[in-house]
Amino acid sequence: MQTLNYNLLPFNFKKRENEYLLVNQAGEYLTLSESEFEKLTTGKLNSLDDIYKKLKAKHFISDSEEGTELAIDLLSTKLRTRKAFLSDFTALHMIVVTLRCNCRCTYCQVSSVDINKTEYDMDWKTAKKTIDIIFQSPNPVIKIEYQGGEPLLNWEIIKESILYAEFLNKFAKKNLEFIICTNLKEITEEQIKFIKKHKVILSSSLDGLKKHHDLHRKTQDNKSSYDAFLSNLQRVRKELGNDCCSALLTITKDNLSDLKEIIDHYIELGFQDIFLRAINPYGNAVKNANEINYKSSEFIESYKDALNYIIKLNLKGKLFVESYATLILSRILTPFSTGFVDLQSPSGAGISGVIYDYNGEVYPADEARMLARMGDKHFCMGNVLTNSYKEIFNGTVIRDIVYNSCVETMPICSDCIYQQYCGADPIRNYLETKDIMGNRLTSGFCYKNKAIIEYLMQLVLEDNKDIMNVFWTWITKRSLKEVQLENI
Amino acid sequence: MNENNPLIEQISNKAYVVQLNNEIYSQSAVLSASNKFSDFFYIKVNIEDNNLIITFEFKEYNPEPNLIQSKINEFCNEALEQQVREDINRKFGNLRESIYNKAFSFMQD
Repeated sequence: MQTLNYNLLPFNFKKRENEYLLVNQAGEYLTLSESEFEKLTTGKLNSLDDIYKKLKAKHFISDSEEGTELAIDLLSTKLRTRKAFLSDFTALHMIVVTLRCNCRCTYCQVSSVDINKTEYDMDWKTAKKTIDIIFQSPNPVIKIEYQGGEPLLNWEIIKESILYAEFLNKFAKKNLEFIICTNLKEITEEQIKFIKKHKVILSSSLDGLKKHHDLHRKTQDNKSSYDAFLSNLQRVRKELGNDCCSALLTITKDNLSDLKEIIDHYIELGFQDIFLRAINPYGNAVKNANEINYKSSEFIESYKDALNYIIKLNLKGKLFVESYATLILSRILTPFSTGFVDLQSPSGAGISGVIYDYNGEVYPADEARMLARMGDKHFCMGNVLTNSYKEIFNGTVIRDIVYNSCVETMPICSDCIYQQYCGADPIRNYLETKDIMGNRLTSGFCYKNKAIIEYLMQLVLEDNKDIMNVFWTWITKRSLKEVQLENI
Repeated sequence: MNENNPLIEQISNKAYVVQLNNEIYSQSAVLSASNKFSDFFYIKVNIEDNNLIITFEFKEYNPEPNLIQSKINEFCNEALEQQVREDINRKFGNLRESIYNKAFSFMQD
């Protein structure tokens, strides 16, 4: 038996029942038995052991000075790859063209205004200036997402700003995309034709069956919002194709226990994915908390049940994706950068996505704008009408967010085994604690993400071949057959 | 409160003194924590021997004793939080600086 000296490279670890899970800065993971872990940490691992070779291959240990330098270089390269989203700066630009809405949703996070209050519409001067600012972003990809209120109520501004952005792009030559977030309630033929011509993507909302959707998505005219959604979904799909419109689910305590039924309904309506996310504590969602909210632990239990149900459907041959799990699994199973504004380190607020309010004020995230609607403009980065691109995007608000939202340097996060798969939500932290770094021990955001990552990690470590194939179909967007063939 | 914890001493019906060892807590961590409680207290920070001495005087005229106790305990936790942030920054601050500079690298162009 030969015992060698070796260096431990940086990693976090956690005891799980009878084994230890190790994850390094590059997000690579490995499990060790208790005796292997004891040997590792006391310098008694044998270089001939399989686990020694695995630890060395995944850069948890190195056994020579040159080897350590090389391992650190490789770890740095992998970390740079994971953080590649930092290179290009802001891609997602959300424009609130109006606060007016034809619905009065119980959980509305922006507390929209009455349909006739046109003073809450973005005017052309502000819209043009917004597009000018957007085109100063260094990112080769520009996604412009129109939000509200109900953005289609200020159609002229959407139309004119799309035409203006396309004009600017003749010179800028960016990869330009448009998205309109709409409840589809009153979409017109003229709008559908324009959307088709300019290849605009639609993003809508569906809270489940009619009984779920109509319960909280109330309309001003007291007609069923579900009926309007369904008939207009059929209209837009007929004209624009089946994939033209995605749907976002808001989970309240009234549909939390019906997620399986809702998943079936999404499939029945031809949707290929669902994003199971907990409700955010902003706007009417705070005012009506007793009516709609639930405990984080209740959400987690329902999430797990729903995820297991979706996995079973996939195993039976129905390709249907849970989007949040796919994001986390991509981070666990691949070395690639998966920037996602809401779960990123540093936070994507401002540097990955940004929102322009109807009056020209710029916020790092929709939630920051919601906070401003609640009376707190802490996160206002400036105004397109009075500030330059550099003043807005190089100011103290955005720099403060980035500096204080690196999980690598946040208490509790810095020691967390799941650090590389997770992210920070400085705006939520500020809302809950008045401190953008926040406190993980009292954070619902931390509780929920940790529980979801832990559950997904458990499934990955169980290494069930069929379930892993399902996960790879989600990550690679390929069919189960293609994934199975590759794994033969 | 002072019977159970010799590091926290009541000096009047609305004033308390907390002692924190300055080999464990930095001045900056204690000042950051103190600042977060300046809406409840008038606060003075001093150094004697190896201790940071923090004097809290409650702003309300006739404060509820349990409220003061709870706020002082929260202060101690906050001082710990701020100290941990400083300690982590000493260990991983370089990594944060690299990430931060990378995020704004194009602004230097």
